[in-house]
Amino acid sequence: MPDQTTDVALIDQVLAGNQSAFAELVERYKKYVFTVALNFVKSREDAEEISQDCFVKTYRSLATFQRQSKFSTWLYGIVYHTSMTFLRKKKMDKVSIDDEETFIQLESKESDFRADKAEKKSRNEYVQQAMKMLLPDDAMILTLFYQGEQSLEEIATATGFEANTVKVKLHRARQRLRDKLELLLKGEVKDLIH
Amino acid sequence: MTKQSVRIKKIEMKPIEERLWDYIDGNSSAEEKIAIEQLLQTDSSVKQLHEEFLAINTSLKFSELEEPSLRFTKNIMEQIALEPTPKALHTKVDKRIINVIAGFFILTLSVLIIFSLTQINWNQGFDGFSFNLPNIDWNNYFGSAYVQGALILFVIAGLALLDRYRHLRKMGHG
Repeated sequence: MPDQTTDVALIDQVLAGNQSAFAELVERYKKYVFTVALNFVKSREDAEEISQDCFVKTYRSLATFQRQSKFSTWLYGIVYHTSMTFLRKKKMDKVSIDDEETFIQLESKESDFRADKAEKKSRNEYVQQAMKMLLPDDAMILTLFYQGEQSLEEIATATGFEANTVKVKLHRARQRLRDKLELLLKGEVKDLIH
Repeated sequence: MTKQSVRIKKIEMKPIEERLWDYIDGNSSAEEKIAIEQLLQTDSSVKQLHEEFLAINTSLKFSELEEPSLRFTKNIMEQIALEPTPKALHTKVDKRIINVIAGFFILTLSVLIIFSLTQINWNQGFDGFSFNLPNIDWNNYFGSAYVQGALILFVIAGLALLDRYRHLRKMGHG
């Protein structure tokens, strides 16, 4: 993850009028932001729209970044809230963000995974596939914790949850990921460790 | 039951999955760590579960991020080119100013309260209470138009700063 000082230096440059410095920030975080957004909406087009919207919002409110947290934490907070708003606007909450069945069905339509395919997949590919089957909150927490390298407190700051709640959610997300892996491998989870 | 045995009991009541994840994350207490390490040596099912969790943990740590389109950054820069440059907040509220204003009001209130307490004749009870402020000719101090004007400006500035501070906090959390 990028150095905090360098992020702040780039922000100072943007505030001084150097717009191109913002392009560097975008390059630095675009994958993280896009991945988190994709965890929510499961559609690359929607995720791209949300991600771009997030960066524009970040640019507009850059002067209000108080530097009490890492820039990445602040940015992920914007991504989380923007994604949630997007989902509500698309009325996906009618289906319920907590509706596991629906997300499994949605994933089944989009997934290229075929249980009858003989091809060998690496462990990472199975985990990636299982991540796509998770609910938005679960996938988001795992992405922020592992790939975003955010601590539980930082995730709590970004999402507005209590730190203890984040810990419980992380544990549940891991458990659900394991359940999805078992589903994918039809009981062959043990093969992952060999 | 000793405190330690109560603690151990509470640890053991947690599901083994939760205990293992705490162990892997390095969040276990010293007692938990010892208990888990003992289990790993003696219980093959726990050991297997631990290995499974480690594998998942590693895969998650090294899983690849998704890549947006090639035009992603360009699209964003085109959008922000139409935006005004965000300006650094030179008038950012210094918390010391807020503390000084608060301190002034607290001090004034404290002086008034202490003064009023010294005016009370405690021996005569409530009926004997009378509050006599010293006869100060305030016009000597605040009669001047300049002083009045300065006070008005001070109050307006204080209120404006407070409002800006609240607005910044709201934006920061939004």
